[in-house]
Amino acid sequence: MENEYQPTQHISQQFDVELENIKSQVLKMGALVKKQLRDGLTALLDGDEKLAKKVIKRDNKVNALEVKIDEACTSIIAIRQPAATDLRFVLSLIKTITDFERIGDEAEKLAVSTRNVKEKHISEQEYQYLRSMGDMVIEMLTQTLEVIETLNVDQALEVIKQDQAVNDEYEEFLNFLVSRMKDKPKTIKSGLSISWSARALERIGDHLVNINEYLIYLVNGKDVRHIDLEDLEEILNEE
Amino acid sequence: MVDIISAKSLGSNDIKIDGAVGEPFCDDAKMSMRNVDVFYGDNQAIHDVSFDLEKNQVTALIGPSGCGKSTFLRCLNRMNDLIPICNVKGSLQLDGEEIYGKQMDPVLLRARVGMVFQKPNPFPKSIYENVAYGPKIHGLATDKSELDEIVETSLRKAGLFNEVKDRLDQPGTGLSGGQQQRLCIARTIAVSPEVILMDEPASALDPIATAVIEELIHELKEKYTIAIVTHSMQQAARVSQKTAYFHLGKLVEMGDTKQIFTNPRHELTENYISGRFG
Ligand SMILES: Nc1ncnc2c1ncn2[C@@H]1O[C@H](COP(=O)(O)OP(=O)(O)OP(=O)(O)O)[C@@H](O)[C@H]1O
Ligand SMILES: [Mg+2]
Repeated sequence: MENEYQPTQHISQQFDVELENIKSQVLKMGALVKKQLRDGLTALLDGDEKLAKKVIKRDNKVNALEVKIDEACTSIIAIRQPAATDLRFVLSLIKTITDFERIGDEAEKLAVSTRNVKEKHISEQEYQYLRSMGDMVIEMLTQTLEVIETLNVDQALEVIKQDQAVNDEYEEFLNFLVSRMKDKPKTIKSGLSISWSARALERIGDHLVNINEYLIYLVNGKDVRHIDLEDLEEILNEE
Repeated sequence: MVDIISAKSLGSNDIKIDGAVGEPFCDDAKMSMRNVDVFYGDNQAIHDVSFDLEKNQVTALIGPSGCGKSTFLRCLNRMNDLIPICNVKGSLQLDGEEIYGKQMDPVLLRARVGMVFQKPNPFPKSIYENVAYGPKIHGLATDKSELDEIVETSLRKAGLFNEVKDRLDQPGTGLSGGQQQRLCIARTIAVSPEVILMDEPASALDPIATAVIEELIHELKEKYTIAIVTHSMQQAARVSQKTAYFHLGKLVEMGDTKQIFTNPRHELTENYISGRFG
């Protein structure tokens, strides 16, 4: 049963349908969150206030989906009393949607900062840093959606590894902002506000790591939270 | 979940069982079974089963109908002796003593290893007599007051005393199903057993009576070692610390109940507890 997920069908076909339903709802929520992230980032970088408004308004939809999936999972737990892989499946997805919802909130924060950042005029370097961090987390999110679909542990591990690059980029960007603020105290205000957006992107990376950890737990039953990357690879390779 | 599965159908025939996976043995065993085969005539019902019943723990035996749970349980206090065509091979020990050994008296063994059946089966006698019968024939009481005391404590341990204390002289068969089952548990406890075997003790009971029995099992494990056969996965998960999964007369997997129900190692166990074809 290691590193693969190939359960046979349930005797109760209805149960299979219910689980399949939850999965497609989670994918739908993930796709919506991805749209939010993409648009939130575009709004911020292009100073597109109209788009920013849309993102802010759409956050309700993300929240509504979370509630809906939450209810579906609760009802499966109450009615079907899932065990083994089924239990891990429901638990992992219930946690996944919490992180999706948070990613939605971070995307909304990007949109909210649009006006502020626009007024302060974003510099070419700031644009590049945010663009590059943004592209990285969008790629992580895209791959996470694939992992939910395929439940491929190797790919989940890849996504977890990519977060390191996001963190490095974040660190470098902060250093850049700090040294610029030292040189030109006038930039302190705009630097701080840009740093919040960078922080939002960095947090999104963390949420995506969480999700991939839940998915690894789903597939092989190992709780891999709070473990170093190196140890993690070792754990997944043993047996 | 059809499309997340690369729809590989796993008929049970494709899956090999060579030796149980998991942890069938422990350091603190009350009973140790090794390489047990059981035959009904030419028909082999149990194949090379080895595991331990850990002291003061509840072990659940689960598996599809006909996989040999009851057969195996009945070996543990030689109830199978009563079936002429039944033949048991291998080693079964209670505290290191062979229970099929020459020195072992099956009647005494059954006092040490008591059994509670699926259908409550009180004797057609008074509530008092139902509980007093065992201690009497085993000479556990020297006089009436000692016997009274055994009856009362046993009924108390079975959580029944308060409900029946005013009608001890009335027939046990007049009690409700759940009360009858607790009466049978009291009867089993009355002879101070070391091990209690239960074969689907709650299958004929409503959820409340079931919860009472489960709570009782939980308390009983402080003093006794318990093996329980159940068809309810939730019940196995609730009452036991160890779970053994049987399939076609073989022990497939044994381990901590928590592990078995969240992350079983064998595919057959997974399929069974999650209600899949397999
Ligand atoms: N008295 C008997 N004589 C002959 N064969 C028997 C006898 N009792 C059981 N068997 C056979 O032994 C096998 C195991 O039966 P057993 O009753 O132990 O299964 P079980 O796991 O307890 O099933 P269930 O869950 O339905 O109670 C079955 O194939 C059954 O037909
Ligand atoms: Mg049976």
